[in-house]
Amino acid sequence: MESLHKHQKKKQGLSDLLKQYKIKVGFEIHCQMLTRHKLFSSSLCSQLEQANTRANFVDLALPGMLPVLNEECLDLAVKASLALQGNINPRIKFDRKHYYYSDLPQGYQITQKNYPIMERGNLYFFDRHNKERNLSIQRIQIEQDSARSFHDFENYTLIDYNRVGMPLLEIVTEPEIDHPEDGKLAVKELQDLLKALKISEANMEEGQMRCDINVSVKSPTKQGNRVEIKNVLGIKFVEKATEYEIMRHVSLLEEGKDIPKETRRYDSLKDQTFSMRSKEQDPDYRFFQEPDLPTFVVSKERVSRVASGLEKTPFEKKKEMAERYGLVIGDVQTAFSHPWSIELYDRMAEKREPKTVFNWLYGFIQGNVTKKELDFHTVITTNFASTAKIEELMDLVSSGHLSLLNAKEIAYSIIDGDARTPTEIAKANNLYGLSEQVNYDAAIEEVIQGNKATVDKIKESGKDGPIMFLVGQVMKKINKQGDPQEIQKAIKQKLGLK
Amino acid sequence: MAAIKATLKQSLPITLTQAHTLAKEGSIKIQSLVEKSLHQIHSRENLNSFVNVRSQEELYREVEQSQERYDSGKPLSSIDGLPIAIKDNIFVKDMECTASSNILKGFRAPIDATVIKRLKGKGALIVGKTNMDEFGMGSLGMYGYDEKKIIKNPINQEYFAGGSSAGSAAAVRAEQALASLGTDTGGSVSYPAHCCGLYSLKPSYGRLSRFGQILYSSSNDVIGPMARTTDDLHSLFSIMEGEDVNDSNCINFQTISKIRNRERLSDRQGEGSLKGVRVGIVQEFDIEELDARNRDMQEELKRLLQDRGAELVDVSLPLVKYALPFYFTLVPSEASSNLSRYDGLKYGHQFDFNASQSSAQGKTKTELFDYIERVRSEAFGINVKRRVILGNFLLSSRFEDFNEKVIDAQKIRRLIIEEYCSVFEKENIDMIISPVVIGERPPKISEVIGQSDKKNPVYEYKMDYYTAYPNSTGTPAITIPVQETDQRYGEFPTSFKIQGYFGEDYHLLRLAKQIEKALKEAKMNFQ
Repeated sequence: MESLHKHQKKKQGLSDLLKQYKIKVGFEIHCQMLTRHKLFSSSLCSQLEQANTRANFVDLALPGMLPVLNEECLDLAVKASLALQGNINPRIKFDRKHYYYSDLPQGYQITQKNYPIMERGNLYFFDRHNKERNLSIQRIQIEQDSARSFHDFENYTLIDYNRVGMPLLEIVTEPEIDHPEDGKLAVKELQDLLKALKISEANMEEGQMRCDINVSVKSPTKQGNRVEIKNVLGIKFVEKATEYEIMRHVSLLEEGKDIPKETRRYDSLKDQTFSMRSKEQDPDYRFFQEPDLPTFVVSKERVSRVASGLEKTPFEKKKEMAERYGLVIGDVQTAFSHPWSIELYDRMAEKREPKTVFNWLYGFIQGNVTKKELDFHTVITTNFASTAKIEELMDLVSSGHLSLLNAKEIAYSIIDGDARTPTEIAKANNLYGLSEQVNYDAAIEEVIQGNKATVDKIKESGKDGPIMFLVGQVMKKINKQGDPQEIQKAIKQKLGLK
Repeated sequence: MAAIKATLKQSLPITLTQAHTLAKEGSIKIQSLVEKSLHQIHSRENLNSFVNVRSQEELYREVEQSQERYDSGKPLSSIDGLPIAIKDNIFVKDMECTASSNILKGFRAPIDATVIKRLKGKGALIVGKTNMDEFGMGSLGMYGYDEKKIIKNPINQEYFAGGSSAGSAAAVRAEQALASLGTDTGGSVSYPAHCCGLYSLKPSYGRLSRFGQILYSSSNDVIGPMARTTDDLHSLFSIMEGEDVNDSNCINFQTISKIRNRERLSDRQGEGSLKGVRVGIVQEFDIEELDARNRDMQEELKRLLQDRGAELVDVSLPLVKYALPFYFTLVPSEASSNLSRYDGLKYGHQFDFNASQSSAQGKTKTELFDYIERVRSEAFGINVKRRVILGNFLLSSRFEDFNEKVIDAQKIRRLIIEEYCSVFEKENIDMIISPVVIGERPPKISEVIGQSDKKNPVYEYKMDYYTAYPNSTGTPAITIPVQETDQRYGEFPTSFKIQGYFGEDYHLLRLAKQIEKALKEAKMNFQ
């Protein structure tokens, strides 16, 4: 409770601050490409194999070994470039970026500096007001991943070379984000895109997608330096780290202090950032063109082949979905947080009122599933037999055989594991009614007579709360077979209220 | 031992071509060739030409198999069973491969280099790995991992055998192998071939796979054969060349050979005839510093070429003078990068970092950077350190002026190549000729070793004026040994170089063969 309060206070503080300060946030996002083989070697890509079983002589940088480009990666990079609507360079080159570390067997990383695969693209996303926005993509480059180090041992660092040489895409955005939440939404949209187009598994917790955030804050009188936060591992931490960093900059600026140019890291447990090194301590990367690889031509044939198989991005699909069903973007976003469910939704919404279907799938069912900490996907596919039982429930309500309230109760028991069909459950509990209107007039009359005090209160204040109490009383009497909204209307009518 | 002496008396062949012919006739046994190789390796051990020789048992097993093939009339190729020596920076499976560097001490090649795989596939018998300047950095064969083991010239042991492929050249000259492979970054094949009076080929860049070659300057390094005749070069080259999926820069030249059609010279023409061949005489190769011997030789050569029907064409390549500055900017930069993988963490030289740790009872760990620094300081030799430090300096963004120069160097290379090709195309020439190096004879060991360290590196840089050029252009070059008919300069031959158009390696080999014949007839050849 306390932390929630703190959070709200922080939010409020932030929105006040944003009126005075100009915020610029950009991202460098690394994602592992979903390929069978590594970027420049024939080793298989795998996160799960036993340590050091997926590294060959090229990965270990034995002398005499040479990089050979895996064209699978080039296709995926082209795909990402097309999805982000950038300019694909017709000729690409690779460069060496040098630094010594135990996780970098070559002593350099092969990356792209001067001729990357793509420049000047666009990432479309819905901002915190569900408004359509664009974040400019500066460039996409193809590069090698490093090995994984384990430092948790007192005396040793253990290195797993399985990851070394795995293909990465580095996606660099312009610093155009001006609110932490928008930053989170943009990164989320990118993650959805990478997943949907099978460019990357893009799981941040698994390190398949890593996000560096750069933040700069300008007060009315002073422009603060740019600070980089390295390796933020989680979508929600993108927002939190940005938030923390903005607040830190603001308080420094308010004290009239300079913001040092530096690289920081985010500690998600403490919800704070810590300095790693100043920009002066950055290694000198001694970039130069990779002489062991030729210049690669990205042919028109390749681009059009990839383009022909290109699926729509989640953003495009969301927009389409909102338009087709008349849903608001917020609802569509909810639906898209479970990409597998879209197809089921489409199937059900074809013949029914789309908003009702939405409420059923993502309101009643998902809400209850979340409350019970169950897996939404499993519940739908097994308990509800995909869409069959949901459709049955909706149809029972719309045909008047079942009240909405009872239908929900039945849905909850199905979630709890009741394997019978909704009709069976309804009949067994004597909830299954006729298609004619349930006669609740008598019940209403009875309740009004029996609750004089409440009725008086309602007439005095005109408040809805006590009416709901009466509705509840009526529902009890008619075995919950009626529609509470209808009953509410009827009571109001009876009492001469609007 | 008696058997060896007996066979030596038979005066065994010293070229691949002769040896193959005799073996096919059945007049010599493969065993005797290998016995002779081993005998020469051991009896002339003081040349320091080898760092690693294969065991007799192993060799004899291969000898037996090869002999069986000859006996059944089915040798695998013209090099089947013939002893060949390999520079120590090329992988031969299961043999130690160190590029004469302490940092790779104990490192065994887990596979065969592509060129070795192809040679072995044609029956070649690899006798051992030859000594060299560490990682190929050096021109005199004095920077191997044992500084006392300077590679000596078999013609006269008081002289250097050139560098960096000094061991490979010395081995062939000393009849320790019939032919050898070297690697060339800026003359590392042609210069030792010159010093030891051998033919050598530096092929077009991308023609031979670099897979399994310990690289020092990736965009310059090529493997090149050394032998006593152009036919031998041809045999080795034709077996080794060709596309390799493991080297992205090694391409199929059949598809690009249509750039120029140079097939005028065929074997049907008369012995030693060079009729119709257009030879470029490059104005910029005639420099003040060139010594009298090589200057005279160039003149003599022009006369000889004209006598045989060649046409001389005066051409100008003004950018030649930038080849050396280009070379000394890009090569150290690439070297510093390529050598950064040697950190003592994965293979090669290591020291016991547990020792320092336990002595302090785990309180102070060996820091990673201290460890890497110590490994590299201990294991790299002086010349390698010089180039790595220079390369890092050139690439450093803190010295932007120099960093720019590396980029400029890459642009200059483009211009040098464009100029080279356009002169060849415009003048329709087949080749250009040049000296290999300045100087009447190889440097004397005592004269160089005695000098202060300060003078050494610069002295060596100057030597690369002619040799670095074909590496800058990536074009083929052949070194041809030659001697004045009166032998007035004594025991050492000199040499000259012919350079061809990109990818026209076979054409250049055919031209070299005609020149070889002409030199023999003029009694200017060196044997």
